[in-house]
Parts: sequence; C-alpha cells; structure tokens
Amino acid sequence: MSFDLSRALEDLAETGASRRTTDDEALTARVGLMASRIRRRRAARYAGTVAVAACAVAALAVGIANLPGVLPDGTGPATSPDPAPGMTLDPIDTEQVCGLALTDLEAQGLLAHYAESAERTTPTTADAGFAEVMGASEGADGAAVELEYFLPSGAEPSKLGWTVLVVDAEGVVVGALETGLGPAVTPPGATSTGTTTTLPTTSCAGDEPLEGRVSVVGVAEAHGVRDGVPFLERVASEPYPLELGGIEETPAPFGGLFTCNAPGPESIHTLPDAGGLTLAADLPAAPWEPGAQIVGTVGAADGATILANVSAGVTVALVDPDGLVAGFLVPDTVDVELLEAGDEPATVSAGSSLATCDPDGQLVGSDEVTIDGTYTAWPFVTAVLKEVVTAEGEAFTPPSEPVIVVANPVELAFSG
Amino acid sequence: MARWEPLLDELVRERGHALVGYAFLLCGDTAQAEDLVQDALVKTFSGRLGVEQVRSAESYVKRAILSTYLDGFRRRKHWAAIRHLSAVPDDDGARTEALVTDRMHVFQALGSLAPRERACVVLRFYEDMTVRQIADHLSLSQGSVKRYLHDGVRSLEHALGPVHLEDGEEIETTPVQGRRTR
Repeated sequence: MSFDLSRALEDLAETGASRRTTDDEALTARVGLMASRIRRRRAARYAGTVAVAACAVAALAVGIANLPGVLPDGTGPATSPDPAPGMTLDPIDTEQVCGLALTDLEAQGLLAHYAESAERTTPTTADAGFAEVMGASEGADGAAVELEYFLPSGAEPSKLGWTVLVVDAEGVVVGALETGLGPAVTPPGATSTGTTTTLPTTSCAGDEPLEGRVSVVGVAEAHGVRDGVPFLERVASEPYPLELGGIEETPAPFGGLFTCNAPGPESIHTLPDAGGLTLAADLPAAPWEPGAQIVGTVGAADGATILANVSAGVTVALVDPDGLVAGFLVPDTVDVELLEAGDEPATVSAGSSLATCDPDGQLVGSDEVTIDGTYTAWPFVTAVLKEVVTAEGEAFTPPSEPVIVVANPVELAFSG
Repeated sequence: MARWEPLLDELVRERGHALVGYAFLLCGDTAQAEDLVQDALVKTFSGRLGVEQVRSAESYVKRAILSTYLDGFRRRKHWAAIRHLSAVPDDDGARTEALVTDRMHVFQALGSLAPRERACVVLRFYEDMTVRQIADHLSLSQGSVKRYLHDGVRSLEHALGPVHLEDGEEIETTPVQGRRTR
C-alpha cells in the first residue's frame, strides 16, 4: 500500500499550526509589533533611497549635465508615444499647470485617464493601476523623489513617464517637471515599476527656491498592453507632504573623498569606515571605452549580514600621476537598489561615461571628452545601511547616513 | 492608516493559521514557524507590495517564508553538523502527544531532508506545484528540482514506504548519473 504524502503533509501542517491551541492568537497578537517594524523599515528604506539618489543628483550639481543617459533632464517635452488608434491624451504642460489648483487639474481630467483601443476577450478586472510617492527628501546634495506605478492586473507597460508636481498649502501647483516618456522596464510578473528622479525645488518661474510645507504629487503615464489589448493610463498619486528649504551647507560631493583637482586618497587604509560594507570592482583590463560595463560586488566584513540601499552603479574616481583627482567614470544610472550583503555578496552593474575636471574644478562630461594615459582608479558606491546582523546574530539599526564604500585601487589605461 | 495596514491585519486574521502550517512543514517547529511567518510578513510589507487582495499577498508572503527559510540554512554552514538534530523532534510533551504515530513518522522523515529537498517536497506535495513552477519559485533549473524531488522522495520512502503519486505525475525517478543515492 502506498503512502499519500499530500494528505500526510496537510495533516502535519494543520497539527503544527494548531499546536498552540491555548494562544492560538499568537500571530494575531504580533500584528502591532509587525506593523511597527514595517513602518520603521519603510521609512528607513525610502529615506535612504532618496538620500543615496540625492548623492547621484549631486553629480549633476557639479556639472555632469551633458552626460547622455545619466538622468532624465526633466525639462524637455515628453516624447510622443505611438498612440494606439482611438486613444488620445492631452499632455500636461508643466508651464501651463503652474499656478493652477490641483482640483482644477482633476476637473479637467488631466490627472486620471484610462483607455483601451480594442475589444477585449477577457473581462476587465476592477483593479486599475495607481501611482504612489514612496519617498521624497531634500538634502544638501539635492532633492529627489521616489515614485512607483502599480500596474493594473495583466498589464505590461512598454512606455512610462512621470510628471512631478509640487503643490503649496493651498493646493496650487508651484513647481513641476516631467521626465519624458521612456521605455518601461518591468520583468515578467512584476506588479509595479519605480523610478527615482529629481524633485523641482525652484518655483515655476525657475528663479526662486521653494520653501516651507509643500506636497509632492506624482502623475504616471503608461502605455502598453493589457491582456493583449493596447492600453493607456494616466493616474496621480496622493499628495506626499514635504518640508523644503533650510538646507544651507553644501558639503563636498562623494563625502569629500574625491574632489576635482584635489589630492586623492593616499591608501585604502586611510579611508573612513563604510559601516562594514566592502566593495570589489571588475574594471576593464584593456583601455577603457565609453559605455564599458563596470561590475561591483558588495560584501560585508567580519561575517555580518548587511541590508543597505546601494547606488546601482559603480563610480570610479581617476587620480592622475601627480596624485590629483582628474575625473570620474560615472555610471549611467542613478537608481538605488536594496541589497543584502552577507555570505552571498550582491552585485551592482552599469555602463560608464567619462567626465573630466576642468581647471575651475568643475566636471565636464560629453561624448567628446577624452583623456590619455594611465590613472589610478578608485571604484566606489554610495550606500545607506538599514540593518546589520553580526556574525554572532546580534541585529541593530545603524545611523541612516550615507557612507562611501571604496574598492582597492587599480591602474586603468585610457587611450584618447 | 497606511494602505498596507488593513491588508496586513486581514491577511494575518484570515490566513495566519495556514501560513504557520506551511512554515511548520518547512522548519518543523511551531515557534520557529511563527517567527518565520512574522519575518516574512515584515519583509513582504516593507517592500513594494503591489497587491490589495489577501490571496495575492499570501502568495508573496509564502515566497518570502520559503526564501527566509532557505537563506537561514544557507547562512548556517554547519548544516551538516546539525542535520541529525533536525530529524529528532524536540522533547515537548504536547507535541509528542499531538503528533501521533503517522504524523511523527512523517515529521521525522521530513526532518531528515536537506533544506532544498524539503522545500521541493513541500512545494510539490503540499502546495501542489508543478516541477516548472517549483523551478521558477526557487530559481533552479527543472533538472535540479527533479533531482531534489527524487532524492527527497527516496528518503521519505525509506522511512514511510512507497509514496503514492498521482496518475501522470512527473517526478524524475531515475537517479542522476554520478549522484549518490541514499
């Protein structure tokens, strides 16, 4: 007689789950505790995300404005999508919406729209997509907002764009920018797709800094296919409160470790502690070429396991033979990834572009920039630690400050 | 109240018992199973949860339970040294009483499996997943899943007798060449 394993497992699962009949509500009683942990982790995660992203935004502030693909510029008009037949969507003009109340934009139908271009064979489910501002913050390095578009069921977006609106206490739009429609990167089965981008911190006229209590609204525009039927959706998030202004000091970018025309580090051993994170980078052995992929492996020292928000690409500081920082290899992404580094190291990978320091200490980046010779290359990533579990199993939450994780330097050849 | 909080509450109320049962099959201890479920819920709801239905959320949490369970063992490199311990239920009178004969045998037999074998067996025979679904779930090749299932079922049969398979059930029953069988 054979053994019915499925039935035996069901029986065993029921027995195991029912074992604590006297305090059967054990898990239910922990909901409050769980909710506290979740709130703390979500707050830390999103604060850290925008803090790391803001460091990347700092790259723009020091002059890498012309690097292709580094950041959406936020100023150009949205690329016109290929509209499916029968579907139209009025654009949100970031200049014209300034000064208008959010309620007026809603009344005009500018913040919510859904259309499909063909008859569907399957019924539409009720769960439409929705947008959410996951976090927003302003720091000395810049301001950033993390946005997430939650897909309608069965949807596979091909293009996604965002309009970011800053609204004052009266509900009037006082700042706006758009990222432009771009390819939507969603792996199969994904239920949402997110991005981190710059947050407008000057008024619509562009000449006055925004200050005080404001709200951030993210408006997602998605084009794609849903259950085989082309669809188009625009949806706005709930307002996300934020205090702007009051940031006066502007610290050096990259934690002051790498500053244009200033001396580079003397040794890996003199660098500040990175909270236990380590980095190994795989740089090209042959002369560097534009776009070259740089892979970084993030690990944890002393047997610890570390949860951290880490910049998704490796930056490389280039120190010339005189020991001065001459330029950077800048990753072509400002995304941030939540990684767990432990027994199994985590990797980040991105293409790279060259930016060099001009005599005034500004970074200049463009397709035409070239350099010659061999430089000492210092790869690094920016991270905000979330949780540390030591080898002994003790867990603690580290300070939510960005750290710079630097890999061992290597010689890197350039052929201009 | 944040959007996710009512969902967390509803999920724990309606499916908490089943989730603990599922976790129990993996780890073999009720208290650990509750911790596993709690950690999985925190992990799931701390991320970008794009669902609003309990059933959808439950599948995310189950996946997190599985990865938390497997990660936990991955970190314990001394698994081989403690393996014999997991095959023996703790000395708990209440459990000994509850897990009568057959259950005790199944419990002990499950405890003799390596973590991935155990996970594959639970997913196949409790969650009713296909080999392909298990492979997707665990990020393994289908060949690896078949090997784990083959070894796992063989070990269980050694303790429990022949395992009944459904008609047409696809489980590799031929040992992979060069691989030691128990």
